[in-house]
Amino acid sequence: MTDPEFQALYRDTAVAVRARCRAVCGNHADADEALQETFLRAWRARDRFDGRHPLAWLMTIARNTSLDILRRRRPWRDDPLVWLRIPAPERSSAGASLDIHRLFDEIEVEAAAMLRLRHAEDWRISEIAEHFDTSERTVRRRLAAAEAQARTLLSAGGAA
Amino acid sequence: MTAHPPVSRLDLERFVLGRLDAPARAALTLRIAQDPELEARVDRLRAELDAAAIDLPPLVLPTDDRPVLAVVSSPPRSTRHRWAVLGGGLAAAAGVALVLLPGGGPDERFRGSFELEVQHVRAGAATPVGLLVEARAGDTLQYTVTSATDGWWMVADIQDDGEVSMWTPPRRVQAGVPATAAVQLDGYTGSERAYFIVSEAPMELDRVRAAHAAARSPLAELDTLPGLPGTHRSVLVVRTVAP
Repeated sequence: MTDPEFQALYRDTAVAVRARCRAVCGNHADADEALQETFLRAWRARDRFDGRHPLAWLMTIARNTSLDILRRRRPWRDDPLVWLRIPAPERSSAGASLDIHRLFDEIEVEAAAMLRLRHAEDWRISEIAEHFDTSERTVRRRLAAAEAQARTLLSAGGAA
Repeated sequence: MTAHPPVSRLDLERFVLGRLDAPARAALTLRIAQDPELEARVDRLRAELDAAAIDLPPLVLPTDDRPVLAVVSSPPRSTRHRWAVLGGGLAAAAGVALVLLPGGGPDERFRGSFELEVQHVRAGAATPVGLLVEARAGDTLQYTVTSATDGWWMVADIQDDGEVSMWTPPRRVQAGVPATAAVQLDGYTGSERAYFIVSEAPMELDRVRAAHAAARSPLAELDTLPGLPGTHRSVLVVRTVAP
């Protein structure tokens, strides 16, 4: 893939890649970092790309890049309920919030991203499964486990 | 009535981007017209893409074919307390300067210089940082690099346990144009050194890792990393727990 071809690929796909990164990362700064890293990784791997399904190829790189950034930054540590866009009336007491922090200290990054896509971005289960290249059943199982843990902690903290 | 298979998000994105072939586009257009829920998904996706198109940054390709960026994920940081480096770090901090002088390894090809300003932000209050800063979880370090030449800048961080991570990935910097970024600190406790690097081309994190491994010195003594391309300087960050 030549430089002009790669530039054209960026023009055609960067907006969609950026939107995906925003959905997963939850803030624009991290998403733009993910966008840049995605295309740098793609540039490095361009000789191994067979030219078919470029958007799918880039989305796979974007998914892995975004997860890497989540692992580094763990943005939910600031306020996981904000990161998950849980509305104010449903937000927990201060005690429960601490418990949620504890939950998110322990939660796997992929599960956290799934929670965000489901609850903050309102993605369908099938879309999350597609994004993570896994089955809907697996997504449901992982979401259920994380949500049950969250509910328990919220309940223990006195939240509605 | 025929049951349609679900439409993938990727196909909807291709549709909105105009990247479906004509038959697939026609078929999906028909389905959207017949399915209000699908139409709502398309509308929502279109809104997301419209928002993502605002101020889309330009693509900057590396100037050569070398691998340009290696992003290494960091495992969850440990909660070990390490204080041994603090004494050395404090000694190194004598004569703290707000704007640090240019540094650089002896073997560098790139002769650019840059000015660096670092601010430590806690609870909305910003304090200038010199060679060392004591900080804790939730604090922010904001930094501005003003390079004398065009090039790339990045910030790499090395913990006292040897873990290397990228605070700011390689970004273009123009001569005389300040470039600013920030990092919010997590719950790690211990010491780490942030290296602010300006170079001719984007640099892999592995170069930093290799330079650190070759140095074989404690972080408190590694103001600079010998052998690292480009020009760089560093700030020692001593991470403490909130009182």
